[in-house]
Amino acid sequence: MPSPKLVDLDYAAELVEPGSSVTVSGITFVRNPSALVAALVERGARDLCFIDREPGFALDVMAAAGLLRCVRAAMASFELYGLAPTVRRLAERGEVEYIEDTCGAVIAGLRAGAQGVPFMPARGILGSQLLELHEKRWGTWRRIRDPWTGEELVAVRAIEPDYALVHVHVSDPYGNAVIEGPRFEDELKIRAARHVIISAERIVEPEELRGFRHTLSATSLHVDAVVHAPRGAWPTAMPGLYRADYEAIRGYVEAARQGRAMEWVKANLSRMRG
Amino acid sequence: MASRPTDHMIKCMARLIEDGDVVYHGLTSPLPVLAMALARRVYGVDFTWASVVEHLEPRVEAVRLAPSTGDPYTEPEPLGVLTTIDAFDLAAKGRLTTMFFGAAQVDEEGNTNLTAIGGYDKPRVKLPGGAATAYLFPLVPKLIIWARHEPRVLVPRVDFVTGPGRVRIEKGFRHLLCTNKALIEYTREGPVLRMLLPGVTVEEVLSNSSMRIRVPRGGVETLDPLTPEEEKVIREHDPEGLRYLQRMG
Repeated sequence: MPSPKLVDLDYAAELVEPGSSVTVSGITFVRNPSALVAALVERGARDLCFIDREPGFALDVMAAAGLLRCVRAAMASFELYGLAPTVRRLAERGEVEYIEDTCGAVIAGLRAGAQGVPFMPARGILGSQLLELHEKRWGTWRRIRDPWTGEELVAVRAIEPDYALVHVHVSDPYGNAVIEGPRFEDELKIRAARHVIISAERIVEPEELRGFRHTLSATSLHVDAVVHAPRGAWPTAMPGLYRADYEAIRGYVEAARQGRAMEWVKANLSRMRG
Repeated sequence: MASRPTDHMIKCMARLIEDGDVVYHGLTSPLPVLAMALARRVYGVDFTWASVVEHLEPRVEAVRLAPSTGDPYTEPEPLGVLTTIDAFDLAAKGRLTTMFFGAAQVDEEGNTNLTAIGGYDKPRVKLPGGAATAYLFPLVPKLIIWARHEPRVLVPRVDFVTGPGRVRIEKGFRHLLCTNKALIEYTREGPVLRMLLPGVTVEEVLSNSSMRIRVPRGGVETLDPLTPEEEKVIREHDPEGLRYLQRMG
């Protein structure tokens, strides 16, 4: 039998070691692990490398808090509010290393990480200038040929983040967890990461999961720690439970554009913690 | 209220969606979302609706724009979830037919830049990144780029090739550029003016572009202004006018 992994938010945040790589759940303003990010800001390790496909709010807060040494993403956007305000500034000043990726390659890399293979071939990409940067500078992609047909493909090196911080709808104390609605790459992240920390809107007894009503997005086999964090995605949306709080996000953007992101974060830490 | 260039762009993009298309839109895409709604509701186009929201076939009448086009609440009551992983696997197999992409710069080969103005290492402006641009450009048979019609956007050569245009032309894929002045199509002979938006002249199209655009002998047609029904449907899906935040006029 697995042992229960229910811990408090601060304990979970302290599991993240300095210098490690971290990925988060959701996209721009949807199902970000805001509660865990708030605890990281308060307790957190520095010198992290962030990796995700289409991050938004959580990434910018981590950048503003000075937690990040590098960022790897296919797009870092605040959508109609413009560029991710802090990430943009740090990247323009060269204060974080910025690795631009592309969606299909991030997915391929996470797939390889989840399957325990060293790389995954991907179609597309050829002709983009991103290819030479990944090949020559970062060593993350390489041109290969299909051994049967000779077709040129891009091999994407496995992505295995040290930590995946994933906010879910429901989990039991062992980490058997359910994401409802859009899942993005979260199930791959859970399988690819070396350590998985789950925050959940609701903690239930395993008996409540019994009966084949759900697909488990994470299981006790994948998860290291579970935190109870109701409204733990605020101000981003939790599909089926609450909408994004665009007024709060706009407040963050305005503060961040003036270089005062951390004032906003500090004033809103308790709300972010759920 | 008279329709604006933004609305003309939406109509121009909507008319490019055809029966049988499998269409996907990404983040920061209010114009594509409204074009998809217009195509379905006013033109009755029979296409498959997929997107970054991961809702397959939302109830189109209920679609409402928000500051994020990745927000699942904006495309409610879907048949179910189609993950982006699934959608992009379909793209690799040639079965995702139509995609919309924004661009900070687009050039004479049809390359787009969403990475950086002024080069990768010392960017004058760090752009958001291309998202699926690099991945999907060589894969999707019909691609509709939308961009502001200005000399610094329509350039001879982009500062950084995020999305490669030439491979698309070589494969015979459709590569279209919808601006707030015109519809332009990439051919083996380069970009060709296909249609003017209402109230725009050929001279305006050419003088506001630093990339060369060919004008067909015999001229081009002009898009009809929006009908009251088209205006009503667009407003219904975007009552707050979030589409104008893209600053297309």
